[in-house]
Order: sequence, then C-alpha cells, then structure tokens
Amino acid sequence: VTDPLIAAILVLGGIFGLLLGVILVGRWRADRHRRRTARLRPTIETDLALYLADPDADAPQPPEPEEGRRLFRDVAVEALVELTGRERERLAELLERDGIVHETSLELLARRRLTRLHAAEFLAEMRSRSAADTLLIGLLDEDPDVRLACARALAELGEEEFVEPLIAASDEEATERPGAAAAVLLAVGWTSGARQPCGGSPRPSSPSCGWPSSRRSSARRSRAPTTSWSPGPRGGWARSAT
Amino acid sequence: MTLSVLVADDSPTVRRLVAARLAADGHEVIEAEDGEQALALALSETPAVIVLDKVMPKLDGFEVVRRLREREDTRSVPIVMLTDRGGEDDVLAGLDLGVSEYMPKPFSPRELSVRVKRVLEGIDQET
Repeated sequence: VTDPLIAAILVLGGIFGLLLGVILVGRWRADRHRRRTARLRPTIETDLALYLADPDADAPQPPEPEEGRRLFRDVAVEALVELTGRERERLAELLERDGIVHETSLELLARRRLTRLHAAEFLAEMRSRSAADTLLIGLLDEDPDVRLACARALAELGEEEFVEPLIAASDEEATERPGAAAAVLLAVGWTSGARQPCGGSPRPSSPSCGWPSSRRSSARRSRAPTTSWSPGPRGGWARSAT
Repeated sequence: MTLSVLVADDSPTVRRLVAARLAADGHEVIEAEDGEQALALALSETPAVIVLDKVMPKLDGFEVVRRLREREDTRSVPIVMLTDRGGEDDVLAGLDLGVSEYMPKPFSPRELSVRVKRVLEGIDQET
C-alpha cells in the first residue's frame, strides 16, 4: 500500500515542481522583457522624434536583435497612428527601407493567430503597397479576425484594384454571414448591397462611389458605418446598428 | 529669445514627437505626462505656451484649462489643445473655456509648430 502511495506523491511532486519551474522561468523571461523594453523604449522614441523633427537627420537604426526591432516597430506604429503629413511619410518610408514592413508581412504567415492578427493591424497603419500581396493571402486566413484585419489593411491602401479581391473574398461565405472583406467594404462606405454599389456597377465607377475617395483612417474614423459587422459566435459575423 | 513651451501628453511617443519639433524651432520644452503634472509645471515654470492633450490621467485637458483660467497669473497663457478628429463638442467646450488653438489628431508636427508660432506672435503683438 505504501509503495504506490509514495510513488504517487513523488509523481505529483515532480509534476508540481515542473509546473513551478515553468511558471518561474516564464515570469523571469517576462520580467527580463519588461526591463529591456523599459530601457530601450525611451531611446527609440527620442531617436524617432529627433529624426522626424529634422529633415536632414540620419535615420535611426532599429536596435538588434529581433526583440529590439519589434519594439522599434511598435513605437513607430504608435507614432504613425498619431501623425499626418510629411513626418508620417518619412516614418513610413523608414519602415519600408529598414525592411520592417517586409518582416511584418511575413508574420502574416506565422502559426500563432495573435502574431498574424497584430501583423495585419500594423500593416493597416503602415499602408505599404509592398505588403499587398501578403495581405491578399491573408484574406484567406482561417481566422475571421485576421481576415478582417487584412481586408482593413488592404482598404487602407485606398486603391481600386483591391476592390475585386475584397469582393471575391466576401463570396466565400453566405450573404447572411458576410466575410471579413464584405464587412470592410461596408465599413468604408460601400452600400449594404456590397455587390451592387453605386447604381449596380460591380465596381465603383469613380473613387467617390463606394470606395473611399480619401484614404485611410478617414475611412475608419470619420466614415462611421451605419451598420457594423463584428465577429459573432462560431466564427460568424454579428450585425449591429451604430 | 528662447521661449518655453509646456507639452503635456500621457503618450511618451506623442510628447517626444511634439517636443522634438518645438525644440528644433528653438523653444525650450518642458514635458508633463499627466494633467496634475501639467498644472504644477504651468504654475511653477510659467511657460509662454502650453500644448495640452485633451485626454490625460489624473486631470483631463479641460480641467487643466479651467484651473489655469481661474488664476490671474495663468489666465492669459495661450493653450493649444490636441483632440481627436471630429470632436466638435470638445472644440466648442474648449473654446468656451479659453483654448487658443486646436490640433486634431492625427496631426502634423509641422502644422503644430506653425500654430504655436502664430500664438506666440499674437503675444508679441499684444505686448
């Protein structure tokens, strides 16, 4: 009787020890990441701010390794959200030139759902034409949130050539459960009959017809949809009036 | 002459973007990361202009403006307020309180720089 009991206690103790070890290592790594971020972030913010304030300034180098480059991207995207005009263009060019847009678009192919989702959201802010091909692939992602984020990122590019792929992507699901692309088309001002916009034309005859004439955030921020779609239960889309 | 500008925004990224732009224009920049700090620095440092974010922890931008306008020594300090685009009610409320200029976000630091310059020229003309 005693031997199995001792064995069970030892096994449980081992499992407990293992779990404790995993938790401690996880916390240690998270703390280390926090400390590094706290140390690097102010420098990155200042370097970017000085670069944008002076047209003749040398471009700041994203810190290596990967963790530093990601932090650089995070700060840059935070700045992109707040900026318009020439400073925004310079920052977007910097991200393109340093390969950060490329790296981010590759993250759309990552296994982790959150990595893909964040990548699509970052690309939406970066508005880089070079990421379009990967974003088109992202329209077929298995996750509806990632598909939506990719569609938004494509919509942010504001180019008419992406209307067709967005419509095609919306065809994958029934009308009652429009896909991410359809939701985005609605959000950027397409009429509720997404396939019959602007007098029945299959695609907008002019940029002001259905497709956002002024690019960007304006599409998301000031053209608030009268009907909005959000991910519903079981991967479907829930409709709500706003 | 170097004029001091107080920049108050809870986002360090925005604060540094604004501060770097204004410093490049030759201003001395003081930074505050929340409304309380902004109020304290506005009273102790008496900046020539204040660039204030509307949404801040501890005290929001409007409350800071209200308290500054209540005091004789800070009543006339020009304030440029950063707000979200399309916040018409905020703009009207701010103008009512005595905000001098508005900058909707997302913003152009160069445009902000021109607005600050304009506000400072206004002070020059008054004096």
